[in-house]
Amino acid sequence: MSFSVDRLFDRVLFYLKLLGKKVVEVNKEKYFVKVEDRVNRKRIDITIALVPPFWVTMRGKLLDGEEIRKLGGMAYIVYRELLKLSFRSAEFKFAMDNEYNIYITEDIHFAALTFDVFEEEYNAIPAAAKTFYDRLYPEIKQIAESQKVEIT
Amino acid sequence: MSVAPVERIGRYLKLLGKKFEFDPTASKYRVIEKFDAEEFVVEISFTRNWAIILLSFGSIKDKPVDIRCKVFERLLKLNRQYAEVCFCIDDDYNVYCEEDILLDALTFDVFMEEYNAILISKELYDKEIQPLLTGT
Repeated sequence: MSFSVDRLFDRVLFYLKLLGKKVVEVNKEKYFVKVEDRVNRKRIDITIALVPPFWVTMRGKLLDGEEIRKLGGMAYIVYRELLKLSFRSAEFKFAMDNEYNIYITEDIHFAALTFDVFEEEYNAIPAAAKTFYDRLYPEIKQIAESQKVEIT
Repeated sequence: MSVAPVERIGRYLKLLGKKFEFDPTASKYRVIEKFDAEEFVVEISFTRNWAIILLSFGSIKDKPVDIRCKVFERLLKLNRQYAEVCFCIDDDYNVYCEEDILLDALTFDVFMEEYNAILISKELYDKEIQPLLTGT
């Protein structure tokens, strides 16, 4: 099974246009596009990339690694709750990079890239971010306060 | 696509030569897999919009907090490192890999890739998580 990555990338750009999303960067050489969205008045930067041979990945950064590191050992609670939220929802998963930045992530198989699937998967990102900010973020702030550190 | 998702996945499993059984009451498939001579079961269930493929690795509730913390950190990093893999836990600290397919997106090729991601997760768990639990 092979896919024309150029054509798939154009399709992603077209879908974003149809959805009226604010595209802030397009890189046709590296096949990624950056979109700016808003949840609870907070800006969320979403990167959509084509990762051959099979995946369209969407990543929304939720929390800077700096903030996680400030929590010290109490970061355990954040990790635990992120993994639990991933279990409770079919639509999304949480992930963390080596710098401890926290992301919400979505993946679409190239063979499944249709407008309806893209829209559903894309919309799961702001929805998950809202869940994160409403349910988990207050707990993170509370932990930070108990540790006497400031979280922005 | 005229064939219902449950039947379609049964057909895909047959095409892939999998050993499986179907529980009509729970509308759930149980697929028997083998890795390094160890047998394990992959479950496939359905909600209104999703097919959910699940592999349980068991609970880590009895492990000390510092070990659990290392495991959680590693699971989140694996979620980032591997596009197709999704590790998660339930309230009893059971660790799972879960792959979800939107029923609108259910085709053989998508199913095969998502199902294979479960098998990759088994390999990752044995290689990356198990040593954290046993201290090896």
